Amino acid sequence: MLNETSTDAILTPQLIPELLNEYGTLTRAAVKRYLPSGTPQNYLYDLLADYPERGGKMMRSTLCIATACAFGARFEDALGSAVAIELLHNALLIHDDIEDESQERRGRPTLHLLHGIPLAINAGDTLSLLSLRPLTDNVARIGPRLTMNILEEVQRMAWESAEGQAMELGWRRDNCHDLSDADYLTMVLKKTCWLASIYPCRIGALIGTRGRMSLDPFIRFGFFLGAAFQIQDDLLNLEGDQRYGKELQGDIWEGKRTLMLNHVYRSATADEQQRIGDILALAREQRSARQIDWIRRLMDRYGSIGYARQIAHGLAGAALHEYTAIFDPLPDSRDKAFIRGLATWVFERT
Amino acid sequence: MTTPKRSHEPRSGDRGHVMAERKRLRRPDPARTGPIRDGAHYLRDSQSWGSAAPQAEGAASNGSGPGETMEDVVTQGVKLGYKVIDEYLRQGQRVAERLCRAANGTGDDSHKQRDGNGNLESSVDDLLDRVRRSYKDLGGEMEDMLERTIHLYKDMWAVWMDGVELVLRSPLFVSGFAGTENGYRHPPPRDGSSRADASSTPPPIVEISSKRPARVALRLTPRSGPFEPRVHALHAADPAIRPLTEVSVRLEPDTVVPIVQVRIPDDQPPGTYTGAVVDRESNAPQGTLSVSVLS
Repeated sequence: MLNETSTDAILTPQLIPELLNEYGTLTRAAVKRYLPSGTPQNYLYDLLADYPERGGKMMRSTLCIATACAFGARFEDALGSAVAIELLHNALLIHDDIEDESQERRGRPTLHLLHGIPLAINAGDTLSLLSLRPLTDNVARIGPRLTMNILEEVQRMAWESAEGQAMELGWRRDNCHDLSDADYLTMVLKKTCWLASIYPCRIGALIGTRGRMSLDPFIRFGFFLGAAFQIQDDLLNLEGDQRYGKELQGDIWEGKRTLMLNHVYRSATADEQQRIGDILALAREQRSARQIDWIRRLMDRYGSIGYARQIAHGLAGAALHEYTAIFDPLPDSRDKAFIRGLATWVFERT
Repeated sequence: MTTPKRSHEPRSGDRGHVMAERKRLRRPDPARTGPIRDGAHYLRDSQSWGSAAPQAEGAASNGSGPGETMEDVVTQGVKLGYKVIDEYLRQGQRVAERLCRAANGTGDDSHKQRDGNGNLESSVDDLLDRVRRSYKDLGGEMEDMLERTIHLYKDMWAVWMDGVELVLRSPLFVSGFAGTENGYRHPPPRDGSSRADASSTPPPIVEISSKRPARVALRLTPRSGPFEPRVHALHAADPAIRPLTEVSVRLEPDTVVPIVQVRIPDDQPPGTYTGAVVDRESNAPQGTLSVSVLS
C-alpha cells in the first residue's frame, strides 16, 4: 500500500524535513515572541520557555500552514494559528508528562521532574492560556469571522483531546483489559488525532478558503494520518534509538494501553494474562525492569509489534486515499506534496 | 506523583474487567474453526461498552488469530479505522440533529439566521432564547451555567458584529485567498469585466470549471434591498446551440458578495452565452449573466 513509485514519493524524504525546518523555524521564532519574561522568571517564565526551546518536530504547526497555503492562503495568514498550536501542544505535554509520570521529554528530564509538580502544572496552565493570544491577534490579520471560527475549532479540539486523555487515564487507573482495537482507535482519535492532524488541517482550510469549504472531510483524513502517527510513536517507544528523546519502553512502564499491549494480552495464555494484569496493577515505581522486559519479550513472541505495524500501514494507506479526495483538485505545490508525504514520513521518522 | 488506584468496581461507561481482581481464567474452546473476518465483529456497539465481553469474543473481534496473513491484518486495520470514524461521525450527526430540533422546535428553519428585515442580531437572540427554553428542564446548576454562557455569547456577538462592520470595509478582509483551479474560487479579475454595474454590489467571486478559458460578466441592477438570486440557463445567439445549464448565482450570507458558479462542458461550442438573473421569489429580473467561452 505504501510502495509508491511516483515522483511525489521520491521527493518526500527531502521535502518533509525541508518544509518542517522552513516553516518550523519561522513558527519557532514567532512562538518565542509570545513567550513573556519578567517576575517570577525562574518560577514561571523560564518554565514556559523550556519545552518550546527543546525543539520538537513542529509537525502540527507545519501541517496547519501547509494546508492553508495549499488552499491559496499566504503564510502570514496561518502563522498566528500555527503559533497557537505549538503553544497549546507544549502546554498539554507538560500536563501529560505529569499524568503519565513520564521521565524524559525531548531528550531531557520532564518539567515536573526538574521543578516539581505544582510549578509544572502552573506552567502548563499558563502556556495553554497563552495559546489564546495569537488567536485573538488573528483578528487584525484574517478578520473577526474567521477568528471566531478558529476559536470554535479550538474549543472542539480541546474538548475532544480532554475526552481522549480521560479515556486513557481511566483505563489505566481501573486496570482495564478486554480493550478492543476499536476502543484504542477511538481513544487515539480523540487524544491524538484532533490536535495532531484534524485541527491543524481544519483551521488551515478555514484560512485558505476563507471558510468556504466543508471541514468534515478533514476529520477522516486527520484521523487516519494521526492514528498511523500515534501507532508509530508507540512502536518507537519500544524500538526507538537514542534519537527518540523519550524513555524507551516508557509506555509499558506507564501501563499505557497501546495496540501492542492490547494485542499481547489478547494473544496470551490465561496464566500470562494473569501475570500481565498483576504487573499492570502495580504502581509504576513498584514495577521492576525484569517485569517490563518480560512483557516486551512476550510482545515479540506473539507478533504484537508486527501486528501493530501492519495496522499502522493500513491506516496510512487510508489516509492517502482520503487525501486524494480533498487535495487532488488543488494545483500542485510543495505544501500539497508535503501533506501527502506525511502519510509515508510517519514511518521514516526516528 | 500520583499513585494509580486500582478500582474494584467497573464504573459506568468504563470498559472491561479489572485485571487485579480476576481469578484464573479458562479460555472456552472456540466454536469457530477459522478467523472471523466479518466486519460487524470489529467494533462493539456503544451500548455494550459498559459491560465486558467474554475474553474469547474479545480476541476474535480483533481478528488477530495466528493464521492471519499480513494482508489480512492490514485490511482489518483499514476496515476497523473506517468503522471507528464512521461511528464517530454518526454520533456527531445525531447530536447535531438533536440540538437543532431542540433549538428550533419544528426543526425546519435550523439554518435561518435572518428575520424578514435581514436583522441578523435579533435572530441570534431568538435562537439563543430558544436554546435556553429547551434546556429549562435541566438541573438548576446546568441552567445557571447555560444562562451565563448565553449572556457571554450575546456580549461577544455584539462586539463581533461591530468588528465585522468595520473590517468588512477593509480590503484586508477579502485578501488571503489566491484562488485555484478546477472548481475552487478565483478572485474577481482586475479589469473589472465581472464587476456588477450597481455601485452598491461588491465584485463577485467566480468559480469556473472548464478546460478552456472563459470570461464571466455579472451585471446587477441597483436595488433597494437584498434578494435571493436565481439564474436560468444561458443561451447562445444561435438557438440551435445547446445552452449552458450548470450555472448558479448566490449571495455569500455574511458578506453579500455574489458567488457565480459555472461548469462548461468540454464540448461546448465557443461563443457568448447570456441569461437573466432573477429574484427567486418574484421572478423579477435583477440583472444579467454572460459567459464567453473562448476557443
